[in-house]
Amino acid sequence: MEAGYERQDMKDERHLTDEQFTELLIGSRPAWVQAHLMDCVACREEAERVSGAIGDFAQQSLLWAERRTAARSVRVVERHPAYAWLLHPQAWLAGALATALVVGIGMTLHREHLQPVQQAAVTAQPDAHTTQAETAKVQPAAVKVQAEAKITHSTLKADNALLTAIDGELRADLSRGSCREITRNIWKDGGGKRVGRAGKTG
Amino acid sequence: MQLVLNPGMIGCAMGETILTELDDIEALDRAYRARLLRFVAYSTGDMDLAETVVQDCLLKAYNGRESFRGECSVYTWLAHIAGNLVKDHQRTRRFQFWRRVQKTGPDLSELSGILPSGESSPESQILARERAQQVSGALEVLSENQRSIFVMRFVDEMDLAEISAATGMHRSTVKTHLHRAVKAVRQQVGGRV
Repeated sequence: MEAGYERQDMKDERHLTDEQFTELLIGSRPAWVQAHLMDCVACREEAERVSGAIGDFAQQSLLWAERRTAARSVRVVERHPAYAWLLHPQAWLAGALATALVVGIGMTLHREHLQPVQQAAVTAQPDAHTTQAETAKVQPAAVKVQAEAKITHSTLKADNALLTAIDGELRADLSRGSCREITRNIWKDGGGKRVGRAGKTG
Repeated sequence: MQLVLNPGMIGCAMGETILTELDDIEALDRAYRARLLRFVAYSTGDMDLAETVVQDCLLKAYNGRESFRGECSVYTWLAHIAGNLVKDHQRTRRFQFWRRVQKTGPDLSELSGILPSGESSPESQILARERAQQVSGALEVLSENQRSIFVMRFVDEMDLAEISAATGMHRSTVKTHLHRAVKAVRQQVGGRV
């Protein structure tokens, strides 16, 4: 056998060519190739070595691919738990944005709600420089406050007029008679008469 | 009584089986994802691209299952789709030279703990891994066509007609690529080339 191998090694043309070797690996095994492999140890060993290496590669690469695929499936499964979204920083960012949005909208609405009342309060002050046209633009709630403010203003005016009238009468009566009589006259007349008097004077 | 097989019946049954397989995307994924990933990963040497292409391939096959005529096996059809997707991706990435820097191929060293069950002794396991890595190393110096055809023939065990159908290449062209790939592998493994 050893002698046969050497004899064949010296005559390279007796070995399988590259094309024949490829054909052999592909699976084409004519009778003469089978016979040659029986005789030629070098070709037989090489064929076994190369096909064995390719077989190892095929097996290990498939295991590798299956492992990669399994790892991918595990990653998909890990996404399923309900709390999984908490692990993502994007979820926290989205939560913060949503909170900021809700707070912002709430504050804006609150401010819009307070603004008419404040405006009305400003308009209701007697010293305010707002014109009648400006006050007409104010919300209905403000109009109501303004009406109440008008009533207070006219009452004050009436009271001031009444006091002025009383003051006038007192002065007149002082010039005519006693103070007691004056007081009696006033309280005898009552509130309605006083108002009537005030109306006359005002 | 003689049993007569009707070829039409066989064809119909086969057609139904294939249609069922293609109708269920999860079954399609389970049956072919790993093989497709191995094929594309070793053909392109780019893991990121392989993951993307396999995903697109399965989706495209599922969406276009009506166009499958059953003239070849499902895997041959899938390999054809995957090959076209690889070409499309490479065309769009032609000028993205930085991809070459980031390119990461399959790494068989990840399998240090997983080896064929038949290889019992640690020495045999180490030898098997070394042989597999020699082949993997030989593939790196091949062109993409040579690599993909080598993987189709020797890893996916497709015959020449199937490879020809999947790649759209003539049978003689397929053989030429195979010759070159085998020569490179023989050199790496320590042959007389």
